[in-house]
Amino acid sequence: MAQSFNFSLDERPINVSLIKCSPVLEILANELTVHVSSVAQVNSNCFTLIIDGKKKTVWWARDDDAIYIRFDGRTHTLSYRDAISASQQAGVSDNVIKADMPGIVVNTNCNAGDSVKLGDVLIVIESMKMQISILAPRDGVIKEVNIVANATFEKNAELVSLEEKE
Amino acid sequence: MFESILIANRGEIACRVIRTAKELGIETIAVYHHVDRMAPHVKAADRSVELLGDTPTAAYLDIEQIIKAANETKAQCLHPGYGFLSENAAFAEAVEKNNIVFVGPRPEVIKLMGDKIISREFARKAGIPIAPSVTQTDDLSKFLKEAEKIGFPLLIKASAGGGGKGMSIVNEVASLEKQAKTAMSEAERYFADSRIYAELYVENPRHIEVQILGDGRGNIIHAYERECSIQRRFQKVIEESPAPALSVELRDQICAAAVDLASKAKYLNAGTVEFILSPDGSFYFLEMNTRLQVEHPVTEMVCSLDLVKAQLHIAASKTLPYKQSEIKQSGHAIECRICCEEPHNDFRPATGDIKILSVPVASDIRFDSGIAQGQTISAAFDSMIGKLICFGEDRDAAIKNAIGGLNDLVILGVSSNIDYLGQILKATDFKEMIIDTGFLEKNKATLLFESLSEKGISTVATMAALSLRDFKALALETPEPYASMGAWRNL
Repeated sequence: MAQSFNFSLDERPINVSLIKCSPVLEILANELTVHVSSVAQVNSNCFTLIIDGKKKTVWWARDDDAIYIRFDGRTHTLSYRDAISASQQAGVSDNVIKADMPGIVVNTNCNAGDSVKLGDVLIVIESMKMQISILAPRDGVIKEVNIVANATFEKNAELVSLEEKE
Repeated sequence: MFESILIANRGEIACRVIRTAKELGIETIAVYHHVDRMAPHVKAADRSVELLGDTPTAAYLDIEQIIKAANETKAQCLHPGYGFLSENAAFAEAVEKNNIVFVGPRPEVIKLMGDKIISREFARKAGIPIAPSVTQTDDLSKFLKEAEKIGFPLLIKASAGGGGKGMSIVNEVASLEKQAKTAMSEAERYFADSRIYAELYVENPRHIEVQILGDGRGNIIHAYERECSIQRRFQKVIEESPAPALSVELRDQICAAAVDLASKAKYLNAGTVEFILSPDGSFYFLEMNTRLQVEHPVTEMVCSLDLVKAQLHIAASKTLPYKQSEIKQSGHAIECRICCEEPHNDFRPATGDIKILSVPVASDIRFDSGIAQGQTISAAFDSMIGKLICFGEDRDAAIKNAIGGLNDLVILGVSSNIDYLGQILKATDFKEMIIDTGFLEKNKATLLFESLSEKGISTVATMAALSLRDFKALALETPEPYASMGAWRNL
């Protein structure tokens, strides 16, 4: 069995394996055969190649699990890891409200211990020069408020956590 | 000329000002917050002073600390850049009180033009066309009633506003009150001034602005117009000069109105008068920006000027560096604003590290930025990290050059709008000059990339595999005869 490399692109798993190295590289990617020749390094993060008869210049970068590939004026972000574990990680618990995007806290409308109902405004944030209300995703009790007014936060920051009503 | 200058800004505009100051032999002094200690503007400057602040933005907005830095470094003049304190009259006043020359207009004029209601009134008295409007008084219900009379859609804006903050389009009377209140709350938050006004929303408007230079005594010259209609949420994305599909007569009228307004304000230094142009050819005063604009390079390219040099000349001598007859437009320039964001995800700002940065180098391409490879892009500052400005003999040539330039501009590690900008320039409507401020919304579907075909996915994945050391070793370093034996087998 050929050694295979697993990627995912837009949540689609892709399996890449090397079939033949000569006279040109023959690569099987998701059941499709790709022919590659004349791979030449331009610099540490750029190479040229002839792929299925077309010459391309490819830029790439790696950031943990992410691989960025740019050619023909378009950038693609792939993840290089087991697709199954990736999908498990993507699931976000209803108990933790995370930031969809970076921003600044305008004000907080809740404190730890408060009972909240589905749709209550928990905090107001500002991103992209707009104010956005973050609503309670369900009924519950505020466990923790991790941010204060005027604090900045990054994408995926945990803003507020909820626990079940006693 | 000055011997030293303090640049009260960061990022690309600080680098831009430093470049010209150095060419003129002026000692450059940067200011920075801790997070920017390794930033290009700090490295580019001859000296630098750290500003303390609870947040990075707070540091760059700290008038007292910046004045102290200027005094301690004996800076003769101060350039505010754009954003931050550039249009803060109290700051300009404080600079002058400390006997430092402010590279910009007089504080009174900053104040006048900074207030949209007062500046519109000033423009009206000066005989400049303004759109029908209603100003908010203490009586909100009266304001709503009068706003309704203008008709829908109408535009609500913050009096102290700018950059699209506190601004919204109201389509129907049902949502007028709610949107007015939201605008007031946003205006209060951003500008500590909740006053708003409503004005006629010109449908399918174009945004045309005029670069002017003034000597403070009423003498004004202009460096022609810029078209800034490609916008999202009232934020410019692509700017060009000259404006496409604009007759010479209309252009001259607009430039004359700008000169007239600036002259009556006895405007000093560089400024921009912005207009809304209706498809029927009528145009209305929008606002005046009392600073150097983000998009100033397109004017520099087509008029062969250095606007920062002109600003410093005016600040030092209180005279204009050129005669109007010496300013000529030639060729075409397009600027693309490079932002860290996700264009297809509602333009959400993106953060991360710039792992790879590669910039096109050509005599007719300019990349103004304040970024370096390895730099972290955080949510602390504006998402705009640089500008790609491309020249061509005519508009088609400039577009072609800009498409090539974007192709060769590589920023990997943090999402950017580079590919999206390329899609805009390739759009048929852009090429055919069917442009207004709704362009991005109207062309939304064509600006999206087609989703990859099966073959395309395989191609991308193959390239990704070839970037991996392990795969490359297997594919490219396998010695003969194994290479021609076919797939590796576990025996």
